[in-house]
Amino acid sequence: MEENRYSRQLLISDWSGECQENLARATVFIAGAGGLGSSTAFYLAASGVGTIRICDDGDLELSNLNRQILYQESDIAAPKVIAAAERLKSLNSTINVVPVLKRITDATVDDCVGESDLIIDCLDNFTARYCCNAAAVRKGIPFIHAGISGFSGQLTCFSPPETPCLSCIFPEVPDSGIVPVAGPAAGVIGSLEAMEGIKLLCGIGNPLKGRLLVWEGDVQRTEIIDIARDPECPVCGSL
Amino acid sequence: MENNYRVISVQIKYLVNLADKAGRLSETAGFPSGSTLESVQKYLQQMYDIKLPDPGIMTVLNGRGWNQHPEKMNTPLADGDTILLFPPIAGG
Amino acid sequence: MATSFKGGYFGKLLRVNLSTKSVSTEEIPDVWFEKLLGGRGVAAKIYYNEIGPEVKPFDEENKIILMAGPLTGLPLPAATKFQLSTKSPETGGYLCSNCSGRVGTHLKRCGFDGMVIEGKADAWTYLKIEEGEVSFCDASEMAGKKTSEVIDSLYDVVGSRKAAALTVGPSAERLVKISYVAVDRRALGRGGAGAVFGSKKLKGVVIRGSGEIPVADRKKVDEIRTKAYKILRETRANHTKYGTAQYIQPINELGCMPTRNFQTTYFEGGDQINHITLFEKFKSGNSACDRCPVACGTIAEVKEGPFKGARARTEYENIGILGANCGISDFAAVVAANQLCDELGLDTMSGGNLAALAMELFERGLITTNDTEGIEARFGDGQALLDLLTLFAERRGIGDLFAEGALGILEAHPEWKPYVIHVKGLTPAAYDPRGFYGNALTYGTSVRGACHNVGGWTIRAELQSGQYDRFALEGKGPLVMSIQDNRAYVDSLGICTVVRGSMDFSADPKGETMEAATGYPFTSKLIEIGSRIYSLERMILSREGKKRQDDMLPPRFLTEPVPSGPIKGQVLTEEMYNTLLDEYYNSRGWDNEGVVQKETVESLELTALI
Repeated sequence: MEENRYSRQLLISDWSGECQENLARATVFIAGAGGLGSSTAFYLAASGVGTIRICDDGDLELSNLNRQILYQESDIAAPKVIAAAERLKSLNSTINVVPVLKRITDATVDDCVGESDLIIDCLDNFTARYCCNAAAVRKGIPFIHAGISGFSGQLTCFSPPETPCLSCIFPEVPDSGIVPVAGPAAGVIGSLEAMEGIKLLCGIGNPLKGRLLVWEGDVQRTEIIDIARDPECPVCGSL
Repeated sequence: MENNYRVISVQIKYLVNLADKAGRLSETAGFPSGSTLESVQKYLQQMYDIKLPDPGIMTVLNGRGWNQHPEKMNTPLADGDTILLFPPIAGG
Repeated sequence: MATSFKGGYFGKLLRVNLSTKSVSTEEIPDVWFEKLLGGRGVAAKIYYNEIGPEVKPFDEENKIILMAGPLTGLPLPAATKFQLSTKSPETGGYLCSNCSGRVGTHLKRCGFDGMVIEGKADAWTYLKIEEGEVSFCDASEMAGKKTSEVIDSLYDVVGSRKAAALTVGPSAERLVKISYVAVDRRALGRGGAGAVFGSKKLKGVVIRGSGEIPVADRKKVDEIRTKAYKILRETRANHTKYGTAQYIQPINELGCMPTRNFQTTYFEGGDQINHITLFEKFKSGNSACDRCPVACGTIAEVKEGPFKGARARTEYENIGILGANCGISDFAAVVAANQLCDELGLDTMSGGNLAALAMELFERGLITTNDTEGIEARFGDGQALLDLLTLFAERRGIGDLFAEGALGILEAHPEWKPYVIHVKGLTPAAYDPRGFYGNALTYGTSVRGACHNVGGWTIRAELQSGQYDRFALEGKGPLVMSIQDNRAYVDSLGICTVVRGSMDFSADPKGETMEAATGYPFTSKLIEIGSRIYSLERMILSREGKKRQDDMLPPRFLTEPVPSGPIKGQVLTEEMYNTLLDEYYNSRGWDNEGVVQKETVESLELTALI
């Protein structure tokens, strides 16, 4: 039964039965159940990740619906992760989805992440991103970082000491308030995050390690930038 | 013999909102030989009122962040260098 | 949790003293919630206990009571309302005020049902409340700044827009008695509450909490929300498309639209300020309050002309009063005036009504350009309206007198009584009671002064349902009472009146939603609680010296027949009004002077609460 669900991906030459088992055994922490979180969660659930911990402390608002395609209008006012968990389970009832209804802070992040194998950044502010980055370094797990704005987005896989961490390359990002976002940007970058997650968990393809992808959807320009560790980084320098 | 008046040709790419500030997606700019990243800094300030360094703007020289070059803003420019400017993209 | 309810309530009150910079918490007894629900009901009780008749609005002893309801912050549509209670600078008496900014939600996420602010700061202060921790912060940088700027600064203070930010404008700093309180993108509009903040040198409050609000039966609450959403999609589609501006046309066509300071009741420029004009030429988007799928807030933007760039969230009242009542048919000017009030800190309704008064006085030659600092204050002049509003906000020229509100104006000029339209000091809403007599009782018996929300919105019943003759005298007492009671309990629950029908909070509620939220069987007691709250508020009024004469309408409504328009000639006499009032008092169980009778106190189970 499950093999039929995944048969199309199993036909991909690198995607072996062992890959699929790796996914089934994995726990992925999705930080943020918004625009990025919608695509990331949808595709990871569809692909068969065994446990998804999806974390957000917000309730669904009307203005979310231009890009947060995980939800329906009747979810307005509901806590997002509760609605998200139901939606993901209706797509794939064979996996576990754990809603984590909490705000990510330095004090709460370790509990929120729990025993996850991977953290995926679907956040909308750098304060919470830094918390996740520090938690990933503490737990020794990879941190897929992404951000979107307007028609653009960026994406990379942090896994120090092999790669930089977030604080190596963006040591201090000022608060940006409400970020305007076109729906498809969330879809493109969120889907890429899911893909990077699968690549990392299965050991296939060439994950964006040590490389930052900057994609501009409005002019259709893509840059891939090499990024390196800062040996004096306060977060990962000691690794 | 080194010609002190040689021009160093540098490509500058402006990404995301920096393209709006500069009014262009990219350009090729000439600098006198011996110039460093600091010269680019002055150029950007004069032409487009883009002030570096800025925690809201990432400056990348030949694929590496400016603060990962050992000489940072004093890193010398070479003919054919590429500089990218873009903001850390924060939304989700 | 201090309370024995299984959800919705914390049973805790936060008390902050600006004079001593002290913070304390105390318990709210379960019986207050059982009898008075929360929100407006419990705030009234605290007012009754703590703000006596001798306390004046700008005294240190006046307090600001902020109270959430049991449903505030719960995953239900538009469950985001909270109440403010204080002694009003505009009326000198009891004020209750309703708002859908995030104060209630975030107080509850900090573990509190409400907060009382006391005392006075010695320098401009703002309160920062993060996860329940209160800090007294220096607001000197914020003083003098417009409200939208300060709201943004307050979000910066906690590093997030997912917080509650409250401020008062520069007019409140000058103790202008018609100053409002801005909360996120909404308002506590009426009664001059902003000036109370000004008198306490409290420029703002920012609250951020991330705790969970307990819910007794989450599954049932989810079912109710899903069902409510379907109902709202069908029944509130016009609210989404046009906002409350949809009422301009019918109210005007029925001859109930205040025009040129209530001199007449039909505005010939009505087509230029109705929902069609708004929708076709000015609407740039919808604004939703938190957790609301209806999004009735209509954002209007002016794209050309002298008021180009003006942008405001429009609604019926603002359009009626800044437009028709000032004789202005230029929608762009209405938007500009709306925005100006918002930024300077003025209540759009009293601001517009007092501007209309100034225009009438000017056209009658009773005030001149010497008083108005050169403004030719004429009806129909949009720029003059903007200039008058600025005069009020800055207390310049005659603005200094108008800043004292209707009562202050009358005290200085009793001879202007024929032109000053108010009840208990509060200027009315955009409905003329000569067009539908239930509305006369609405204005006369609203506990905070001439108000259509607190006093009972009878438009649907009297003008749209076909069930009532709008000019009948009989039957209006019980009608107005039932609408007032319904609103009183809805204001105590923490939800918006626009969505109340979708969760069965009509005049005959079944209490299913409340039981799912709190675990307590409020079944069918809700309308009684509304009655109880209303009479408790009336007892406060009596204690403040209000009697039948204070429920009287201004001379324009009781002596002037409507001079023109669809109801030309219609007259509501004092005798007719007294008939209405007698029936109302009788329905209420109050005596001839509007005092709550002993039997009523007992039958409403108020004895133990007072």
